[in-house]
Amino acid sequence: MLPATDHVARSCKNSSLDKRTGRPTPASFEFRLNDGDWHDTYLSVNWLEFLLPQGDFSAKLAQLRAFLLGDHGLPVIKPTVNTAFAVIPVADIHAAQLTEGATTLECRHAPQGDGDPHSGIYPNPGVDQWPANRDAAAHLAIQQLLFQKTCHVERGILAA
Amino acid sequence: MESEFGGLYDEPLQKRPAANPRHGRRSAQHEQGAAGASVEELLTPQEVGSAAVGDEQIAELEQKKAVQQELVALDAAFYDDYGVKLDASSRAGFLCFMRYSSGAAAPLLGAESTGHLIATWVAGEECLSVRFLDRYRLNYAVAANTEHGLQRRWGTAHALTFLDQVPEAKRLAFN
Repeated sequence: MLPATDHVARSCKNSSLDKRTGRPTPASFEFRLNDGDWHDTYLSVNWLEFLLPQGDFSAKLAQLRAFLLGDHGLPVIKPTVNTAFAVIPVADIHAAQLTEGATTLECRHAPQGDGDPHSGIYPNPGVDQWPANRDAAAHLAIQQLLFQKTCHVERGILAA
Repeated sequence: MESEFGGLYDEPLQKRPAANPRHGRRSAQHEQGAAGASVEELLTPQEVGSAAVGDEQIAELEQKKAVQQELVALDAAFYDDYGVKLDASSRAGFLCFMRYSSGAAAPLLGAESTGHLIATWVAGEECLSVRFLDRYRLNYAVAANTEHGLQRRWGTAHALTFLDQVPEAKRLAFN
């Protein structure tokens, strides 16, 4: 598990962002379905303090941008001016309790190679125990919780 | 394969046409939204054709226009991300909800990869999120303060009866 003092950043697609405010929405934290099966077993995030243990969020996100745009050969999503980073404290994710169904969430480092800050927010019980339909409202409650725990937002690429 | 989400970095969820890679000037049709939406979609013919008579009506009309413009921008963003239109029935459900929930505040609005719209109203630590599944059905999640602290509840409801069934939702949407 990631340390409770640390933070993770979720890359949010343009169409999941509110167009008036540029803020992420619960749609930014979607677990996707694929023909009745869960495509995502966890939500992909990046562990900020893995790259820069000290500093403010802007400095940590600058380090993350540099990594994601770097030439390391790892399969990453490149940030753009239209995407956004949503920063969430690990402690808030670990403290989450959704009473009905007792779902809890856990952040784990899931590197794809050396120096990779890639991590996941894993639900417990896992998605294999979730109902395989698109209208399960419990998933929306998890998305809403992550949206509410977002403590800092920046564009994927900052305007010059 | 790049993957924003968890999993195996394998093929994306659905095969869809590639997003338009051109980032230069958009056509007027593109600016209008991939679904061909117009800014009058949320307004009734009477609202489009007649002058508002009071400050309250003017404010309501302005808000409807703002929500409509946001939906048009979201149409374009979704087309850029996925190369397809927003889910038409979800879009119709959202528009219907906003049209017939006169006085509802303008929500935060985002789209999932399915094309479903999620509208969210925030009031401090309280929050209401609604996923429009189609014109009539919706998922909701509510985080509301009670005497036991912040409580979360969720469910599926019919658009016509939702606000009566979930009083916290009504309070948050009309905050």
